[in-house]
Amino acid sequence: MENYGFLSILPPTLSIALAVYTRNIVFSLASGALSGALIIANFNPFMAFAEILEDHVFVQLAIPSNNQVMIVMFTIGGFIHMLDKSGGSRAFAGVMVKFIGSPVKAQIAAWVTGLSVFFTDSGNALIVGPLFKPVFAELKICREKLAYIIDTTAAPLCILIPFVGWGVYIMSLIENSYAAVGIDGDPIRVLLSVWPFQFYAFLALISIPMILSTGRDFGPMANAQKDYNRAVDTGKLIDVPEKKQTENHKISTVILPLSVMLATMVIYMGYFAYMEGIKSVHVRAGICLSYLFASIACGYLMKKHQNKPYDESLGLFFEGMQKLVFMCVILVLAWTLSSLCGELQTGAYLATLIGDKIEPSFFPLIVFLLGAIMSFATGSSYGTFAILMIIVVPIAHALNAPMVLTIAAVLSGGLFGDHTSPISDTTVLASMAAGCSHIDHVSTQFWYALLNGVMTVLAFIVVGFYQSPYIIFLIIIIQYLSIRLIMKFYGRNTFEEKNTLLT
Amino acid sequence: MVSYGFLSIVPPLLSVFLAIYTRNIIVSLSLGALSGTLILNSYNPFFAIVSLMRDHIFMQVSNPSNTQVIIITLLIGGFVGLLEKSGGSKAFSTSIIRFVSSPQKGQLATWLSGISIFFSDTANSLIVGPLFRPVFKELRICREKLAYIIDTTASPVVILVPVASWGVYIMSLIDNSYTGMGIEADPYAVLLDVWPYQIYAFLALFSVPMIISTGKDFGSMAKAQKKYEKIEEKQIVAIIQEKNPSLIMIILPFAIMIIVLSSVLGYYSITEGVQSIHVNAGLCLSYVFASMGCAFVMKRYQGKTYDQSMSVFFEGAGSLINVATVLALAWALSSICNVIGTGPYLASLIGDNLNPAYFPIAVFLFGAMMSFATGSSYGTFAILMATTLPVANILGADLVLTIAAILSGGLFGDHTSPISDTTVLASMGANCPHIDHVSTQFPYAILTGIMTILAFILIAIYQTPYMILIILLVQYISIRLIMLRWGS
Repeated sequence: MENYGFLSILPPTLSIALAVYTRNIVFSLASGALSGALIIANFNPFMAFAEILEDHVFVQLAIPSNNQVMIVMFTIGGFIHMLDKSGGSRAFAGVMVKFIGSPVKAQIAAWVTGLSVFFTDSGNALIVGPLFKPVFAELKICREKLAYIIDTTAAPLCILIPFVGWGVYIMSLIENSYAAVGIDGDPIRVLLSVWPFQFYAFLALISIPMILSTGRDFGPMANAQKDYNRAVDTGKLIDVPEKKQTENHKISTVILPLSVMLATMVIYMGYFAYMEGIKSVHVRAGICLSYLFASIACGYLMKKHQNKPYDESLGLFFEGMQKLVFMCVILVLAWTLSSLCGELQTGAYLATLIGDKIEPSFFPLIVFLLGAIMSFATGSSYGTFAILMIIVVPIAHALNAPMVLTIAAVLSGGLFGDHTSPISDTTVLASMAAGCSHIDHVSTQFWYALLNGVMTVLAFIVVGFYQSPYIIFLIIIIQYLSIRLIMKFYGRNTFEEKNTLLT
Repeated sequence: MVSYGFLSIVPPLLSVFLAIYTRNIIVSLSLGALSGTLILNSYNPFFAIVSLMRDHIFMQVSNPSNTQVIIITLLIGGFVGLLEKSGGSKAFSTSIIRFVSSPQKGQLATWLSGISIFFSDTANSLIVGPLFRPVFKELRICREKLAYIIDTTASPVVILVPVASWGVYIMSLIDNSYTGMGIEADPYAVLLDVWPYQIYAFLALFSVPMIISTGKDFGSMAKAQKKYEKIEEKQIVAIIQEKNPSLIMIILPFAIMIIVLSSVLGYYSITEGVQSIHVNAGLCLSYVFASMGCAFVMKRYQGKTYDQSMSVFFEGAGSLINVATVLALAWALSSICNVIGTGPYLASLIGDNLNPAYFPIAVFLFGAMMSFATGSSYGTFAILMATTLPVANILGADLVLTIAAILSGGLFGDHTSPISDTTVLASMGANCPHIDHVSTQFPYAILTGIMTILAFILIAIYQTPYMILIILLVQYISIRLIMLRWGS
């Protein structure tokens, strides 16, 4: 194979640069891929286009696993949309509102509800936000806090669940970059071994009850709460609790489909695990089938309780599928870029560049920081995963760095950057759903997220010395202690007076 | 292979029946496919479902040429979405209407544009359909007619172009079975010999202007038109004359599309011959570039940002996702038919004790049946080429005529079948209910089918390539007569 040397890093570099500059992930990936094809085709634009389509896009898409990922993504999209529209998830989340007395309990309730709506990331914010807005207003907790909670329970939760869209997406990226460097690895197994190292996700999730348990806030969040209190006291802000909509959607509209889904999945996975060992194709077929059956159940309930004809449900399903076209385009482009980088041997070249300069066991740390910066700049964790996975996995392979940790670092970094980035769609969604100004949400959340980020860096350093999945527990303890300490020195209890008021 | 005998035609029959009964193509295709996997998995529902997903849907969608069709479908969706948003398609229809004042001329224009897109059956339905929808609306012609015209100008045109994808596929089939029989022949030369006998394709193509020229319709199409007019009258016809988008909105994207496509196809026809992958790549590229052109003019004249255009593009692509689903299911069904042996079962019904001169007629009828049942002309071609050509060789029947009969039969069945992918694409392109399209098209296609049988009978008596001219005359006269008697 020809050695392209320096040119081989052009495609991913161009993609990253364009992603940061234009913030348009489709455009950047496409341009990066095109530059790669140009290099391979000796800068003949005509052949480059033909090359990109015939040898990469068409080939990548026709690879069975890639194809199946598309089908699975579309099915999941269809089901989630149906579920959202059935109003069942709202009813489901509404159950939590009943157990609320004090501000701390209300926030914990918001957290738990966020956790229970694990099946959808965008839906998470949109379901939990409106539901808890009146509760928070009643208990005089500022909206920034709500935005923070729902933002934190959205993406970090979904990334931990292998059978929702995120898991499928990540598995496919892993599979492709593994194939590009020629490592055998069943993506589901890889994902499961990466799981305990998804530090940022765990830390972010668990940080909420830790912070809540202190009953205090620090930094801009404390200021926001104080401003909010003052505004309410002086009557400048009349935050009349909105009347809760009386929705008579049955909670079963969400319970039944979800149990159908889980049951189907358990049966299929169980059967194949027992018979021939779980292969990725079975995972995908199982996921696909469980979501399909769940959608049928959802359609049935909508017919029964809301008198929606099946045709309409089918229409909803397709609407949901449409929403995922964009994500699938990113996937296709990422696959294309990855197969081009494979042909250009980008990873190997980069690895020779880095050479012995860094200790392989600390490579994940660098990846984490890189991912965080990129994701912060682009506002897209999806795009960050796609681009970084392509570049980083081959390097890690060449450097002999711990592969599982590297992947975990990509995920954590992307998540962290996305969480703090003002231009990320999940961040925007959270402030929208909580009804607070976007910039306020970003600035109040920043310090909390940064704390998690610092902890994650620490975790990757510790893991660099001693690799064990149980490190996470150690880090969680450290995190708890530091939150306690910070709150002691900088924290302010802003809810106290109203607690007494309430009682 | 286990022979399933009669059971092998259950899945397609169930699908066709359900399609007519429920009018929901997705449900009927899925249930038909499921019944097939049930039979294949000795009625174990668990395995049937797994196998449907794993061995058929997943496999079919990841078949390279199928994947390419899906990509093209979605790209076309995005492009058409952009054209609609930019006002390009409106500009197109207003300028078309300026030239074509009468419904008849409008339909003829559709026919001509359908013929001009000779390189791809998918593109044919999905481009011509949306472009002419507003024209038909303006001229008060029902959508079923549009669906009929684009369906008829899709596969029959493409099959007649020996250098495009279908021709390549057919040549490979001919090559296979000729080598199987030990006959040396250049498949391209054989295809050219067969060409003048592709009677169904010719008749179907010419039937459109013949029917249009009478200005009448008969059967269910006439009913559909009458119903449409009634609904139209009820609606207050308030055509809001918006600011007319300039014609550049359509000319630039289409110019780009044609230039890109012709340069890609031209390049490959010189260097290595146009294979279907090149056609597909060319189509993808031309749509992507045409969409960029469209985005450019939208930015220039309407101040739309590229980000906006991109999301319009994705919306448009998304709106065709159900088409892609139907395609995937249709492919799954035909792959099941393939495994279960529907085609060979039907082929085994052909007796060997036929007068060789009439053998092509029998082949035509069986091809039509098989293609109608499986909804796949490609599959029919493949099975019949492999099974009937050797029989024809033994019987001493004319091989060229037999091939022509296979092609005509497959096309005819595919044209009438409710579970065929091209039929689905036509109704999607014209945006009319699928079953309405199938039922209105049926009488017209049957007429063409009968003419084709007549042609094969005449050819059996006296074989000449010029027979097609006589049949065209006969067809013209009979259409005139039918319209005189039953047309309205």
